[in-house]
Amino acid sequence: MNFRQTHVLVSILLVPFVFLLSGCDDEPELSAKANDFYHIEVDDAYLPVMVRGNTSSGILLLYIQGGPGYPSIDFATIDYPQWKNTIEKDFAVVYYDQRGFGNKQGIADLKKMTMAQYTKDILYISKFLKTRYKDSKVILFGHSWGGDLSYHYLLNHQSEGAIDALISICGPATHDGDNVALLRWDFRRSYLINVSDVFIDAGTDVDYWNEAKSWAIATNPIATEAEMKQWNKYVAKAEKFTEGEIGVGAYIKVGFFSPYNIFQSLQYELNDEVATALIQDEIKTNIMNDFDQITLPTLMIGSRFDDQAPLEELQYIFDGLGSSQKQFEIFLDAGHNVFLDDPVGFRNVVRDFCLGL
Amino acid sequence: MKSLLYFFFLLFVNLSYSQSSTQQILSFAYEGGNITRPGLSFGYSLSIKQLQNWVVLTGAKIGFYYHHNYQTAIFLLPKFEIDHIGETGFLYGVEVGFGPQRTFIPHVYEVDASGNIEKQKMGGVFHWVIAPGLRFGKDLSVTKNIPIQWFINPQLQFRNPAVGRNEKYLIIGIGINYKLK
Repeated sequence: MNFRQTHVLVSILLVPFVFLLSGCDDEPELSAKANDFYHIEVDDAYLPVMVRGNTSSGILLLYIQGGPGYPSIDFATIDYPQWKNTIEKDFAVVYYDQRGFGNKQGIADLKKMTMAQYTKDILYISKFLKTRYKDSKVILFGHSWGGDLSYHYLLNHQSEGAIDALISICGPATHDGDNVALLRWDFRRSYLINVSDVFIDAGTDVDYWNEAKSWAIATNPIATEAEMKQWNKYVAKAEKFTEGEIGVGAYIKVGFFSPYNIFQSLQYELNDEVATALIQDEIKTNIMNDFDQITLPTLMIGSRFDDQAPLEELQYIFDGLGSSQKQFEIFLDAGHNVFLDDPVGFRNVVRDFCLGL
Repeated sequence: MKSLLYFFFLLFVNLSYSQSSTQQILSFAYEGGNITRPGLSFGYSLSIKQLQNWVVLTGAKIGFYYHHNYQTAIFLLPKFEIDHIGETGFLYGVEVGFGPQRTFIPHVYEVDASGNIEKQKMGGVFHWVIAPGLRFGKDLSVTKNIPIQWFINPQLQFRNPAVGRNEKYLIIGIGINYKLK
């Protein structure tokens, strides 16, 4: 190989280092259209964090994904919740993939998939945000199981001061098989009675809902597997579950223009393993009598036709909160994905709460 | 995967004792996740056995790819390859590579208990990779007497250590082989 050939070869081999060195360490410029990307290393995991939207607002909504088992970065990339042109115009939304889901970079042990580790991850991300985006308020913005994880976070780390407020979107705090099963099914029994009344008052399928209501009144408590299945059958008719649109463009975006490694993200067996480990860890802890320890400003958002997070359970959590500034917003014609059912109402409620802080 | 490696090991040992003629090949390929996740690789292979239309090669390649906001990786993969070259020059085959890889993760920050943050210069993971792959293409020396093959080479990398059992990444290679001898 002559000198010229060697020179060309060395030049080509240096190309990856150009990419490596291209990430400079400038402070992020606050902007109405920010799109910042980081990885936070916490205990052998590299957690991807995307900050998108209006960082100049001084408010960062740290989105805590539900599931457990759903990634957030692709959720944001395809704009599943449709916040890019709504909430992200008002504030910045911070999306991160929870440990063990999404791209799963690092060498984190599956034994570290515990609620304590997950709340620690949130703590480190929120501390990072507080330092990186000085003078900004960081608000937990948890949906579904993400709301539950947010309660656990605040019960363990509220005193660290890294979070300024909580917005819990349809976030229950009980699970099947946990040690508050009776309470959980008492909420669900009340849910069926109250939802039946809504349909009976509206004159819709009156016979069906009268039967459902009578069954719920007579079945106290709902305790056996057969009774739980029957409850599920009744409430299925009331459930409002809107899913975001995922078109061809969304697949192209994720496949070609996102950080996503699809082969890594779609390891369903591993995702299930992690989700199961988390739930098994979570049900060991009863937090139902501890909500008075949450004293930060809190906005609870619930929907009438959400059998995954019944209003009756959310009301119990709300009543228990120790916050002096708390607000409970109920969407009467919405389900579990309330932000898709009523995007305008949802945006307004979130905006008013944040601006009032 | 272990049985596949064992197969190639036996093949190598067997063929090493029955070598007939050798062919040296230099290869160059665009080798990334896809068109928006670019990469390059360079390789050197040596044929260690030729039997009718089949050729067995061993060699190694070095390369890198870049996946925006995910990782940059550099790798060195010694490999075995078995190709079939038809009378029209159509080429198909299988290969398996095994070797080290280092990923470089962008914009990595560490946070301490007080909330101080520090940017890591070289965040990433050292992996061992097993990469089985397929190969399709055309050998232009068969019909046109040009010592070049072009090929398409999808490979699935399995990396360890990782979160869980392994980390997977699909690499698509499109390139040319140049026959030195």
